[in-house]
Amino acid sequence: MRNKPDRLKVYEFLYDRLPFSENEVVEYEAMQRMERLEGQFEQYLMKIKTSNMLIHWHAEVLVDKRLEIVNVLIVTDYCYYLFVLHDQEGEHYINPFNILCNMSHEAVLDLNRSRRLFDMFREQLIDEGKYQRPIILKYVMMNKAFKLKGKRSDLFLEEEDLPYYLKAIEHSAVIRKKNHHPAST
Amino acid sequence: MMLRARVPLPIITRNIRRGIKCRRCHAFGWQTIGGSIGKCSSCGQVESVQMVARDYFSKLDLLYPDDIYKRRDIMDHLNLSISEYTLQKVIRSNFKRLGHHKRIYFFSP
Repeated sequence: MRNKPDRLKVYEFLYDRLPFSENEVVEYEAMQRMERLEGQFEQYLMKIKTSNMLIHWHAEVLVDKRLEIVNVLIVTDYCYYLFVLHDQEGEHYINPFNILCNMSHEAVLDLNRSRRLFDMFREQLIDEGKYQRPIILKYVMMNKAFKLKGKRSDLFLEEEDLPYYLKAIEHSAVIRKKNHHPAST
Repeated sequence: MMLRARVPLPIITRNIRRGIKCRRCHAFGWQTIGGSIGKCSSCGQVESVQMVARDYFSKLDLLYPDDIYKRRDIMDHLNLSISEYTLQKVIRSNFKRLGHHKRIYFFSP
C-alpha cells in the first residue's frame, strides 16, 4: 500500500489557507502530477503478485546537486528495478546529444543523467557475497499518446508494454526463487 | 512537569485559514448536516465529522508536531456547529490528555 508523501499532504492542507508563492505552486502541481502517475502505476502493480518483491515509492535522490525522483523501486531476489515516471505526450525524438526532445525541438529529458543516476544506485545498492544484483532503470511513459521517432532507446518503457514488463518481473522472481529453494521431499 | 506556555500557533500569525476543507474539492463550504456527519456544499461529498477531524489534525500535526490544544482550540480549528457529544467523540478518538490536566490535549489518534 502506497502512502502519500508528507510534503504533498502538507501542501494539500495549506492550499487555500495560505497564499502560495510561484515556486510553491509549481512544486505543488508537480507533486500532484507525480501522485497521479504513481497512482496509475499502482493500478498496474495491483494486477500482479507482489509477495516476492519489495516496493519502495517515491525516492528523492541528489545527483550532481540536483534532485532526481525515482518513483518506484522494485527489489526482487535477483534484480533491482528503478522506474521513473513521466507523462510526456506526442511525438519525441532523441537528439545526437542523447537528449529527449519534443517536435518543437525543446529538450524534455536529459538521458545522460540516467547514467549518473544508475551509477549512484550502483554505488549504494551493494549486495553481500558474490552475487551483485543487476540494476535496471526505466523511464516509464505513462501516456498512451507518447511516441518515439527515430533512434530507439532501451531506457524507455511505454505504458502499453508496462503490464507485460511487470508480469515478466513477477514471473522471473517466482521461477528463480523456486530454483534457489528446491522443495524438500 | 512544567506546562508549555500557550503561545499562538505560528500558523495563526501567518494568517492560515482555519476550518475544515472538503477532502475532495478543497472548498471551505463543509458543514454538518446531522449528528456527526457533514457535507461539502460545493461538491456534495459526505463524510463523518470524526474522519475529517482526524484528517485535519493529522495534517496540522505534520506542520506542528507535538502541539497542545485546549478544548477551545479544537473547537476553533474545526469551526463547525457540532454537539457536545460529537465534540467529545472527536476528542476521545483523536486526542490524549496531557498528563493530569483536565482540558489540555495533544494529538494522538
